[in-house]
Amino acid sequence: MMKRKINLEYVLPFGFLLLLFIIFSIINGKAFFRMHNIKTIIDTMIPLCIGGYGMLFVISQGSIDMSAGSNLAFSATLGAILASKLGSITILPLCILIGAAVGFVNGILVSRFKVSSIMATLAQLIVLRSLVVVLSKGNVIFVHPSILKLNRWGAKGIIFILATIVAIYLFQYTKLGFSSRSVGENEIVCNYVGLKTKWIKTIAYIIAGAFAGLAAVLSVSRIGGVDPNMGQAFELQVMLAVFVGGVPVNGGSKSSIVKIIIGALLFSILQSGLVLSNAKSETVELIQGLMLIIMVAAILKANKMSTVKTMNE
Amino acid sequence: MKDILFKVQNMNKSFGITRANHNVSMEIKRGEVHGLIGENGSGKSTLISMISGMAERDSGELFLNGKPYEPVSPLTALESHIGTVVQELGLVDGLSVAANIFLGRMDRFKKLNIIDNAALYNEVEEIYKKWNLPRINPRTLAGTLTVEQKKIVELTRALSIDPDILILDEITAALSYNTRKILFDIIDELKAKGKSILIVTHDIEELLDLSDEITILRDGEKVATKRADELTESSLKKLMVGREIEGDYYRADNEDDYKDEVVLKINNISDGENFNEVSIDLHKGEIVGLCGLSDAGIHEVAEAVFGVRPIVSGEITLANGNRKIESASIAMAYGMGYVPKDRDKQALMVSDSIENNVTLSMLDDLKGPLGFISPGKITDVGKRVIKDYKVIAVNEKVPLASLSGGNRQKVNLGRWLLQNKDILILDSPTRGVDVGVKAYIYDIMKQLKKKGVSILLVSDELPEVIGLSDTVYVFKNSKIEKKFRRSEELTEEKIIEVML
Amino acid sequence: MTNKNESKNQIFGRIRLAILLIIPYIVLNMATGGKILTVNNLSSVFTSSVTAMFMSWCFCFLFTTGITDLSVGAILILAGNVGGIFAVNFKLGTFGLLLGSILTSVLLLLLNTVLRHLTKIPSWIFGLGAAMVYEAIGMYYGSYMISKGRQVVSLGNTARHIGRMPWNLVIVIVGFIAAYLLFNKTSVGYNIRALGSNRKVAEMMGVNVQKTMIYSAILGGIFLGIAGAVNESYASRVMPVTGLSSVALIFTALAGFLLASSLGKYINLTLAIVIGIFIITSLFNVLTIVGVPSGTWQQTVMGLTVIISGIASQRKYKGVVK
Repeated sequence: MMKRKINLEYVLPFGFLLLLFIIFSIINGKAFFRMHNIKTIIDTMIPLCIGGYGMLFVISQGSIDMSAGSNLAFSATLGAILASKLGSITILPLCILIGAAVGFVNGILVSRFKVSSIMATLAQLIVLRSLVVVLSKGNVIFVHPSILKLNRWGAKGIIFILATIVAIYLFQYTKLGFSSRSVGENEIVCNYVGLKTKWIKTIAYIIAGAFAGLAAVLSVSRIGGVDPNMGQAFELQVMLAVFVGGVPVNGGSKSSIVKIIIGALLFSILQSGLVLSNAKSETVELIQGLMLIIMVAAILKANKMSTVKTMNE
Repeated sequence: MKDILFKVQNMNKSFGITRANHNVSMEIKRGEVHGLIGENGSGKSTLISMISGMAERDSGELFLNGKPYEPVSPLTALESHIGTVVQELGLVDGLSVAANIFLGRMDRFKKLNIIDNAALYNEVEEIYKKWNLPRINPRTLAGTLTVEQKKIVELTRALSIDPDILILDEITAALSYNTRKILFDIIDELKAKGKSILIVTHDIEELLDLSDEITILRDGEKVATKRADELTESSLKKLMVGREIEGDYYRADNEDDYKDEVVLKINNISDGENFNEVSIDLHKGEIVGLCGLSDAGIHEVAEAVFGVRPIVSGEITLANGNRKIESASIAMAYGMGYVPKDRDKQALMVSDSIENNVTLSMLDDLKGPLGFISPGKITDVGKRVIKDYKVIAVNEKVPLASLSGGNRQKVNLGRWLLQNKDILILDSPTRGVDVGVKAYIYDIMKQLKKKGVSILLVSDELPEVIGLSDTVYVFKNSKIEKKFRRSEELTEEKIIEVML
Repeated sequence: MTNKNESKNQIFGRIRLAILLIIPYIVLNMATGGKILTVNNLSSVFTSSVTAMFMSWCFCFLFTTGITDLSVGAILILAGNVGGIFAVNFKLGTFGLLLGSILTSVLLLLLNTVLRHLTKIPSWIFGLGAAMVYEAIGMYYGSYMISKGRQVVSLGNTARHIGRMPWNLVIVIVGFIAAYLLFNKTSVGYNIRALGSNRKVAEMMGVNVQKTMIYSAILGGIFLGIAGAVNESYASRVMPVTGLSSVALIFTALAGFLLASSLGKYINLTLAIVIGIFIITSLFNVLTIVGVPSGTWQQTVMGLTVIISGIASQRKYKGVVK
């Protein structure tokens, strides 16, 4: 019968995980395995996963959303301001809606006006961040203490699990997810089989925005307010998680939610390990930058090899 | 006995599992026109790409004037005085005509490292004059030219090196009558000077007319090289196909035969660019063939009918539900399927699996409650296509890139056949597939017709259009020039006369 | 016949464009009570445009081939600092500033090109990764200096003239002539434009892709290096940044480049860049004059300018955009 092939693109992230484990347990010893550190790892991982779920719809289409971090800050700021008038519990739907609205604008720019996604969302990154400063006048906005309850493990856990289920359902088992991956494979083909690719692209950005809004709520509940600097470089961390987890940079049918969870876990371990070893911020940036290039190249290479392998069979 | 100018010896080239060239050998004599012919996918273009330095060979040797010739890039070919006009390359649209002609060889116009444009333009004008070519302003941007003008620029580029061998791949189809005559004069002049020409064309009559010798390829292998005067059209065809063309390759009947019911009404449509005032009625069980030169607009009509190309006037109506086709999703929802011309760019996600490619065209049908699409169903349709349409593949999960052209085309067709569509638009359905698959596809088309399915067949291959259609529309200059009914008297010559 | 019409259209287009561009200046000048069209104000607008102009000419060579390298901002910072070290610590003055800056940016852009070729990663994501690495290198230098109780290099009084009038005007004129000739009238320029227009066909016609990419990195690097030197000279000290803030540095140049591409039908790209950048810098000048705070709303306008320029440059594009 057919031998089950070992697929390099799945092995890579796990190999990397093992490597990180060994390095950090040597450097940090027991501190790495303390309960506190494990909690920190999970705490870092949850927003990355949530941001990553949304981003996956965009990345699987071969596009990118650089505005996730600014969107997070923007929806948190506007959401907190509005929620202070409408009642604190409304912050959850408000942030998600505001995030989705920002995503809608991104989607229109990319799909309708054909601005390349990296340019459009980089510009949005700047626009939204400056709007945050305008809205908050540069100050921290405190929220009602009841919102802090969302930061308890129970509430956070439920939100995370629900978000994961929704994301898996939408991405793996619906027309939307299927066509998103197909747009990444070949957008022209999708047009030729009657898929509304402009709309699919727009929806992907709306979903990415909505998940960024959800991540905003979790951030607010964790720090108890809105800091105009919050979410800075969030999109980078999410991107790292997505690519390190093995999602191909050009998208396509090899994109999956599981890869995001693995990638987010990897990234969080790396982050906590670096913090424990008192790495300087420039060291963290250096490592992240190198990791981004190396992992993307490695996954690309692995994918290519597996295609060549099936061709020769 | 004339001496040999160019020699091809045991050339081999494979793409994945497809053997595009297998031990091909050939000799071109000085001062001769050598014809190269074979069906689509027989390996002609591959051989030419290897000679002109555009593709690497797996193995084999080339000799020019008795010396080994090793083309590593298209520039080597040009430096060795081998000029090529390739079938589907085109020009760099963003540069001027002159820049296109001398791209990569611009250094000769340098004065203190700055290109002297005046000298560049002058040189181009000189080449036009020398070969008596129609003048195309060398300053014009290539992107603004017509298909024929672009071909002339490519020809100018090939002639600009004073070629010892001129390779022409399917060039005549794009040229008007007058330009063809100029080209034939150029060929005569080159011959008189002891230069050689390697010519590839589908037009058998033309090939027999022009060539001194003809090499026939089939499925990547050389069948024979014969003197043109020893060949007739039918003996040549027999060599190409490998057997007598049997009665059942195409349709056996000689009359049009379909129901009166109109299933698709194309009413006076124009897209403001490629086609104008096109009206066609497609009846139940009818095969309508569209043919014309490459810029006549037939492929664009097919795109418009399926709703993927916007039209500026006129309308396309489906009898089913009296729906106007405004988008591809409407066309699909009301029983249409479309096989576009460029299989690997427009129809299939080449690096994705068979099952995903099939699923892509039927997502709405596979949806369960809450829009759930189960992986089981996806695997199912993949398996069915493989089984029902005899696709040769390991399983339904392998990427299409691992399949041969013919098997990819079976997947491409199968995804629509699986859905029992009432109307199929087939644009060049047998492009780049081997003879076996070709016959299989014709068979399927005949069966579909019997079942009452209507087919709009767009094709550059006249025998296919004549052999299968009930009605043939011939396009010229973006318009329907003439409509023919199926009959015994309908021949390629009659159609070509209208096309040109 | 058609050629005459074409050139006629082009002339009309240019005249229309010139009017379209000049009117807002006159209107805004009246609205602000004559604060805009003064020699002083225009020369300060020009002075703050110079860095972006050179950066944008760099894009001319680099981005035209289909590469979007987002690490140019981080390279600009590093180049300026290396130039500063050459000028001050090695006592090489203006020559050292230019030499150091140009060397750095040429080398790093070449490194990017080679690594991109080896790894086959899309240029934008490679650019992001490289930007992080180069930012980190800048920060290492910064924190090393701080650990010694000092800051990153400052030019003080050395080589300050090339960032100011009238020297910067001379540099821009020379730079423009060089960019124009290199881009339009050399074989390398032809090859770069050919790759940008249709890579596959260009390759088939015998353009050596790898060689051309290397040349585009070198030429782009020279212009980026001059940008880095002018920037350093103008500001005296350029601080390293983190968290991809360097990407924001290229926005004026990027918006100018995109705007220039959309004007490309009427004016040559290299000249359109001068005009485009000047317009964008003027826009911020006007905002400052009417009292819009920098940092907040001005940043918003900056982002919107990039978006609008992007839309303008893509107006007629029919292909697939990612």
